[in-house]
Amino acid sequence: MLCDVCHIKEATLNYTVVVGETSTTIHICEECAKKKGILPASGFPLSGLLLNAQNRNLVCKRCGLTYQEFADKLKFGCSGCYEVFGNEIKPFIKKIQEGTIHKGRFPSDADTKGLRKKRRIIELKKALKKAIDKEAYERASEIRDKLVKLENEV
Amino acid sequence: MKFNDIIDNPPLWLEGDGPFNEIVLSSIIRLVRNLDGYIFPTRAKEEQLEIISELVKDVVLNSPHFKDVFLISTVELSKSDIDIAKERHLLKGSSGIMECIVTRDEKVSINLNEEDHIRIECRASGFDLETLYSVIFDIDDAISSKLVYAFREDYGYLTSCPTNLGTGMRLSCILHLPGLVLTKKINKLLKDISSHGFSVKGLYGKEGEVEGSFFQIKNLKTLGLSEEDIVRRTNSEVRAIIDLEKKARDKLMEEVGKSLEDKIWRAYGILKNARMLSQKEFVNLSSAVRLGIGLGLIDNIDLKTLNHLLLYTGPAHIQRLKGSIMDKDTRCIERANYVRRVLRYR
Repeated sequence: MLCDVCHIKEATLNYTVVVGETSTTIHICEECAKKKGILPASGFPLSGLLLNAQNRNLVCKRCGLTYQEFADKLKFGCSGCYEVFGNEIKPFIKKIQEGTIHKGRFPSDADTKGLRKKRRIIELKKALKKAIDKEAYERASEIRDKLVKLENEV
Repeated sequence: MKFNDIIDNPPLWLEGDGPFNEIVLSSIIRLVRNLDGYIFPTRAKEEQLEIISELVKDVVLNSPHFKDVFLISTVELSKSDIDIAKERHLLKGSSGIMECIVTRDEKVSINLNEEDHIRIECRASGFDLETLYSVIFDIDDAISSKLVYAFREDYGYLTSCPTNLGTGMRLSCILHLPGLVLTKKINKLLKDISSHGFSVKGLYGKEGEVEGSFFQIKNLKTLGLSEEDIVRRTNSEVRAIIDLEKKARDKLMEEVGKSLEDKIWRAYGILKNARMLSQKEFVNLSSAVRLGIGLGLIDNIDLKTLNHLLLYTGPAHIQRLKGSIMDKDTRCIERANYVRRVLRYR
């Protein structure tokens, strides 16, 4: 198995980190482990995987949380943190979660923003592509009609 | 309603009934929510936390969905009462002001300002995630019709810890798996469960130890799956474990039935006669008796009584019996007295 960090060398270490109720295993080569501070163990090792020279100084203006603080404790300070650190944390979230897009319920107020319709549009677009790939043109045309109707509503 | 009114009565989720009650002690569902526009509790100032607490209490305590509820606050409780509330899973944190709104039967509790603004938890006896699912979303809808949650289209419900993102939903079951422990199949199973996106740990015992063959299994993934997906996956994972445990119990009965029966009755004998019982010993002995009930070998005690004993023999509950702080040995004596008293009439 290749190293999860450099994707070049063979991973020689399985490193498991427990965060809250979730444990994540990272397959990593010795060189990357040393670079990231996993070998020898010092400080909170996962911060090595999240931090780099550019993002280290990011700060959430709303709650004052720095990215370094987030990387140390893996706790956000407010919803604003997701705006500021959103791109940086995506690979990490991908690792610990099933995906990076919410597929569950909406709060009742979010519904009024048309979120349910927007999600339906994404689903219909996927279904449309599938129908065209299968050359099921009649089905594709039905889906396209629904799509146009929904897009006009949003 | 007073705090004592709550703790004098055992919680309804310890009734020992419900589907697969011989293996599943209880089912739990939890939702994590934060209010839009407010800093999360880990970084919020005290006055901000007070506002959040007032907002949520106003909605919950005045909603027709929440009849017969009680507010537990660490501000008003003694240290020993806080420990009791923790043993009943009503309070979880360790610092700051902790508040929990709980129904009289303790099936629904809402914690305020722990790691997140709101944590809703519903519990049921036995294996019944589907009923809990509908109960908890009625409550969630009632709150979200009055308060705006922190939510993003991509990450779903925003939470303090990224492990709760998305649905913010955690399902868990407390399982009694002595068959798999005794047939030494448990380690492989635990490994398999972890690879399926679930976490599993011993319910009693220190780090790395499992007492009484009680395990708690939870879903790990909360983002990228719908709530229905999570319920379906958890249901099928737990069902598979139940089937394995049943097979392991059958195998034990077939191969070492008489010696198993002997061990179970000896455990019952010790519980009925011991003069000192540590919590660890009680958990292990009662686990053997529980297996005996599941196998139909013992019928002069029921699961409900055992479940209640599990709760009321916890250190904080034992101390409450005497109303004073006790050293460990005294607690062991009081625990044994209490267990004998309960079992005498069975």
